Amino acid sequence: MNRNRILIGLTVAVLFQTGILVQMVWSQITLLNSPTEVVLQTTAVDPRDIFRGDYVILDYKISTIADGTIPIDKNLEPGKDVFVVLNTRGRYATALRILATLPATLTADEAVIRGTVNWTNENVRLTTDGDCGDCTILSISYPIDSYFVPEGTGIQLEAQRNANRLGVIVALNEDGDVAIKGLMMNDIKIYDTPLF
Amino acid sequence: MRPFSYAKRLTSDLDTWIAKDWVTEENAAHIRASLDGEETPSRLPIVITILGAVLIGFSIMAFVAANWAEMSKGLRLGLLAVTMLSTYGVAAYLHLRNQAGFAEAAIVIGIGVFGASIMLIGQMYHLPSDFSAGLLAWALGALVTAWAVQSRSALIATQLLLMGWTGYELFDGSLHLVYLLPWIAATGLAVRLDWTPAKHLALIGLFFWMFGNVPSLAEKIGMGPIEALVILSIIFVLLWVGGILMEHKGEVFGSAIQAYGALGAIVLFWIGQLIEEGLQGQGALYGLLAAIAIVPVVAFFTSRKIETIALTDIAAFSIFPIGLLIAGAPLGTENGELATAPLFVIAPLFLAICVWLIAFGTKLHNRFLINLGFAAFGAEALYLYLETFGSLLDTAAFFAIGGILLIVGGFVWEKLRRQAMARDQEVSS
Repeated sequence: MNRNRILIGLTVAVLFQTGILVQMVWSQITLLNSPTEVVLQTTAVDPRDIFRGDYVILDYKISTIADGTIPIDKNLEPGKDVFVVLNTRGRYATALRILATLPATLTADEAVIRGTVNWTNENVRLTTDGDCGDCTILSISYPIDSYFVPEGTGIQLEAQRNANRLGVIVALNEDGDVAIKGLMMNDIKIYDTPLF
Repeated sequence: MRPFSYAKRLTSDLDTWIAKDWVTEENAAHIRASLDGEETPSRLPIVITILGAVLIGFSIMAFVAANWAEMSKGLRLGLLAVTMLSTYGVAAYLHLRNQAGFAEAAIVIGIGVFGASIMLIGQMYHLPSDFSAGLLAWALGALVTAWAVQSRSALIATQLLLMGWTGYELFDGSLHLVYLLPWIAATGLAVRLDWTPAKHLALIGLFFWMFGNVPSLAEKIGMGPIEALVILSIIFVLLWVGGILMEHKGEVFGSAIQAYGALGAIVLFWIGQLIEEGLQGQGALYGLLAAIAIVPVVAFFTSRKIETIALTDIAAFSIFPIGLLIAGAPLGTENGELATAPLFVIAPLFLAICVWLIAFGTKLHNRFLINLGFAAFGAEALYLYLETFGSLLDTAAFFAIGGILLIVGGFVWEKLRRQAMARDQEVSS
């Protein structure tokens, strides 16, 4: 290959790779700048799986939902997108209804978050939560399943999270896309995610 | 510096060749002189440079990752950008200085830095752990680099990353057809560069993808394991015949394609013996028979161009998928009910195919086929030995008879193999 071709080739490679990285950063910055911000309550998960290296695996109260407690669309399938309408009043956001498609309108106290259906378990009798003898349990995952923390602080956060004292501040846009903005413990912001 | 053993062997051979008048004294002197004087370019400095650069790259990434709390995101992003740009800058500089080997090393590091940047940006913004999307982005970056700079090392990196990507998707149990798009782009470059290792890797990537997709695809279209094996067998036999044609036309890679085709066909046939599930029904049978008919047709047209392929060979090629059909046919009984063909129906067919493979390899002077035939024969003998153990004779007698048979068989096979190889060498010399 001649010299010009090499230089042009390397320039194309650098521009393409930089483009991918810039797109990754830009999409997150746009999302983090969104005015809609809610706090989600975390729940305990198996402590053997929750802390790996320098990050904490996060699970949320709105990850497991039974249809006896709130309305759930019938045509939900594992692996497909699901839209959870949130009530943003109160300390933590709570799920109001589960939809298969993006809702057309939301009230002032509502926000929507997009997740993926993990699994559904039908015909479950609930004894502790809701008045439902023939329920469908729905498990949803959200693209906010991990938070990177400074070395050595993960175990402390893990304990707080298991005691249900850890909240995750998230930014949401109108399409239900979500990004983590920070962590709260006992109503005090302990970690922030600056844009730069 | 050439290895001492090579110089010693060549000096000794030269004496023999001079005695046989194959090489003149004058030419032998030139060869000896070149042996003493010529210095082959050593790859050691390039290898050491690559290793050193990889360590530095890891060091930078670990530094950025470890100091994430103390360093602002902007600074970390800037550091990543500078590292990537300077690595490709060094690659450009080395190319301009005609140091192609070192430039390739710099490109590999650049691709590594790009991958590490994807991971670190994911960490900085707490992106979800989407390993598959990360691998795809990394592979596409490497692919564009490989095409833009016509870089061999970037191409190999692309092929490995693509295999990692499809492997991750297939492990998830999903059908992954979209892999073919970047695979075609990478394979196109391998052909354009005419570089054998990349061509091999392209084929390996294709087979990896094919075998990974078969269970999901078969389940989706209601196909049983035997039907899936028959379809795969047809593909591998056609690949094999295609390889023979390519080699006949003087294409060097044809023998490699033959080897992959033959290996795939014989392994699939052997697996057919282990499948207990039969054919799904008559509808499937007619469809498979129609597909199998392609094999003798293609083999027949090949035999018109290559005289060494006889009618028996055309039949033998067809036996591979037909044998699998027989393996799934309800020819046996189990607990009073119809079951798939018993071992004594399939095993002789498999052994006969092994013998044909040895004969066919000898005829084509293809050592790989000869060795494959012997290896498959030996493996089948061992399998039969283990399968029938405890049911045919008393254990002691079976050990004794089986042992004697295996030893005698081993001697006979080895003798046959050596005779075949000797004939092969005679013809090729």
